[in-house]
Amino acid sequence: MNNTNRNQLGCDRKEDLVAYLYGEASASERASFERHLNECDDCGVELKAFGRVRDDLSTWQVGFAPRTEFVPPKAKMDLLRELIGMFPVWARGLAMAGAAAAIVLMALSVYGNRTDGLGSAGLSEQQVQAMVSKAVSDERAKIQQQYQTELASFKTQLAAEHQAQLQLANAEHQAKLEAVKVGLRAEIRKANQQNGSLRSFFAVEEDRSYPWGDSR
Amino acid sequence: MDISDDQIIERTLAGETDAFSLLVRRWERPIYGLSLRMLGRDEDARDVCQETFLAAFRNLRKFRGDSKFSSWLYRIALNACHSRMRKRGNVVEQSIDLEDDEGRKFELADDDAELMPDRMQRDQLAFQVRKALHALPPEMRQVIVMKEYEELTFAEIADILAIPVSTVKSRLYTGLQQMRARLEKFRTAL
Repeated sequence: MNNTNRNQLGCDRKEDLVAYLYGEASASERASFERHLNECDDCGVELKAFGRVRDDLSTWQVGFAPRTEFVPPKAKMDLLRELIGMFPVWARGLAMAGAAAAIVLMALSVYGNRTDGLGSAGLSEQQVQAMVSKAVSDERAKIQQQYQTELASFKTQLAAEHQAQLQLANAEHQAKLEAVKVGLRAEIRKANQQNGSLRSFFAVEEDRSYPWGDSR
Repeated sequence: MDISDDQIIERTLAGETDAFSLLVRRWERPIYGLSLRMLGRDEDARDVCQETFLAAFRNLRKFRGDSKFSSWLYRIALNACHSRMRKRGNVVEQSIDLEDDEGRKFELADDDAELMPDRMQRDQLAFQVRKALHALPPEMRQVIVMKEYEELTFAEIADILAIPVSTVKSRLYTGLQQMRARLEKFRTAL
């Protein structure tokens, strides 16, 4: 509790006063400061005044807190993965091949600079070119293979869809044909009935015109 | 039983990023209160709140757990407040929201104090408190806000501000003295 900080009135116990005010003084510190208060009117006055300030401070209450909208930002790798996922396989392969070729070239260029020429590294220019060509052709072959696989898959899918559509169209066509047949049969039956009625009508009329039974 | 801050941090770091929302819900009110009392404007306090949680999320791996998560969060929020104050040149008195908690505007009446209804007197006092608090230098204001409103201990405040406990007490004492002088002037004027 020893400190040399004096308050405006010359008392050196301002930190003790603050600890006492906020109830953070230990039991012995509290007892010591209370003894001091009996002797020091200035500290007593200040303690009361600070108590009033604390009461005043308590008039400013924050009644509500707005809800913080928090959406965890996506990691850079996730964003990259999403971006890559938007491209078809062949484009991804092409990009990878390009990147691989660039890395090889960059590595060789650095290596070349460090060894002051390719010859001293034990690799001739032709060998390096052959390595690069091989790397590029390998990547190309890989891409072509992927492309062929993708194409074959598309073809199979397309053929299956085509077959299904043909079957559907055929079934619809048969159903329509059947409906037309049924309609025609009904029409023929109706026409036959009408024909029979006409015949019988005319037969009766003939009988009436020629009551003697001679039709002509 | 409530899940602890440290457990939520572990879950977040393990990839369960949505768990961090629990920390936001738990600490948004204290952080908003601290920011509002430091800056005096609701809009600024909201922005600081958002910035604080975003910064905490992005730097969660850097949180070593030497101190409490809340202390770390308060430190981030205070840095954001100071940065905002620097940008606007610490012009606070003119920018304090003249509204109470329920959104009513303060009207500084010239009426005789005896005729003033209690509510109006209290509102005026609250406004004077805001003004007096914002007239303090930021290093004193933050100590008063953390002690008085956030109810942190001297040791916690010292940890957040990375200063000795004796400095915390000293700043608090000086801040209270200045508040006392301003508020007594207001009372005399009444």
